[in-house]
Amino acid sequence: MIGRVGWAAILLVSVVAGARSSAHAGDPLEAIVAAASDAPLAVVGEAIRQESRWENGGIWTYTEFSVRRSIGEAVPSAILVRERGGEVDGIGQRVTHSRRIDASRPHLLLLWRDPETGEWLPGIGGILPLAVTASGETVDGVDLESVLGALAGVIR
Amino acid sequence: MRTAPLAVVLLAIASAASAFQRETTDDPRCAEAPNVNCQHRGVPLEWRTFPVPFFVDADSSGLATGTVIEVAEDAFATWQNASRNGITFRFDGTTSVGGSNGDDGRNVIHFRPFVGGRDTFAQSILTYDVETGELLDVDVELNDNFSFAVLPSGQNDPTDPRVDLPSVLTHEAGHLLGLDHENRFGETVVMYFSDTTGNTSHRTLSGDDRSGVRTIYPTGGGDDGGDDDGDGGGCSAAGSAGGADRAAVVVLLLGLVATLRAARRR
Repeated sequence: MIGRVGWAAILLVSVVAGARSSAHAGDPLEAIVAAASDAPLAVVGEAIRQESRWENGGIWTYTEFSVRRSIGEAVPSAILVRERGGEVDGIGQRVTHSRRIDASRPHLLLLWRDPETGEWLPGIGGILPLAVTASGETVDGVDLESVLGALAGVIR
Repeated sequence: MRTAPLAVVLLAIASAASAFQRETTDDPRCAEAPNVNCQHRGVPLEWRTFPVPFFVDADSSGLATGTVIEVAEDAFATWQNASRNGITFRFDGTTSVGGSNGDDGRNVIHFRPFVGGRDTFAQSILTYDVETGELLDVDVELNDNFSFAVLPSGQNDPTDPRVDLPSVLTHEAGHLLGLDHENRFGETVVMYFSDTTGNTSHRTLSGDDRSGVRTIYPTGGGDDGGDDDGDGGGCSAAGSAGGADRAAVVVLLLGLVATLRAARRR
């Protein structure tokens, strides 16, 4: 039999759980399209290999990326992507607000040419891991085909 | 017998209200949104030697160097005062860097055009020891595709296309000292993930922000330099890297079980 103390505890737990679970996210598709503004290229694919190294005071990670879908500039079936951040010899470097390419997952990448090296560089917000669901691949909860359709309208 | 389990439950609830997030060595980024924090799985990042020096490179800011220096000093002083000198900063001069260098031990604030990210006002480059979490170098980059200004105090006008430099630098200084975004308590928190042009509200720390810096850098004593804290520092108890949330839920459930069992034994 649950007494008054027990019911009070249950009520408190419910209040806390409810407050913590209530959420109203922003529109992820809008955010992806906004991040792609001015991008010359979007690709879908997987990392083949990665290497991090120090260059001029920054740790840069180079990812050989296998391309299975692309929108925008014509690219070969594998491209080299250069991104800021990584780990070398026990030192880590990271950019706040930015994701990193995770070699264990497929990604959608929004890419620009690095003005210094000419290599492909993800823009801010341009590294988007894919999730595999029962109904297909998604990007931040949005169906991949819907995302690619939207991007086709902004990437020329 | 009945009060002890209830006390455990209440203590767990209080500690579950962790009001800040710490940067760690393993922070997989996510799609941030209101009420959505990213995970923090690694060793928390923090400075171990003080004062933390910083430099200013005002090139391409569109502002006078003296203005940028003054704004930067005020931003760091805001956090230092909130920490009651648990963390201290020191302005070490101006420089012309041409880019962030995480290998020189100089924490530089500078301006450059961002590639992509047309909604991103600024970012920080954190360099740290992977094993200990010690911060080694943090450079703050401001996106000079935007027009930065010192806006009139109290302004909140999103139609103004200018970005309030004091607000942005106060936010980035929070990253520099080891705080990540806290998205559960609204836009008044300086470490909230988003901001708008024309807004000056992120010049002022919330209780949640203060809790964060005081937890990471407990005071070593000394004058707090006019700390204007009037609200007791927010609602947190422990707040290490967000893990306190999960621990608090476990304690909460154990307390609830104990409470129910105590009630049944009456």
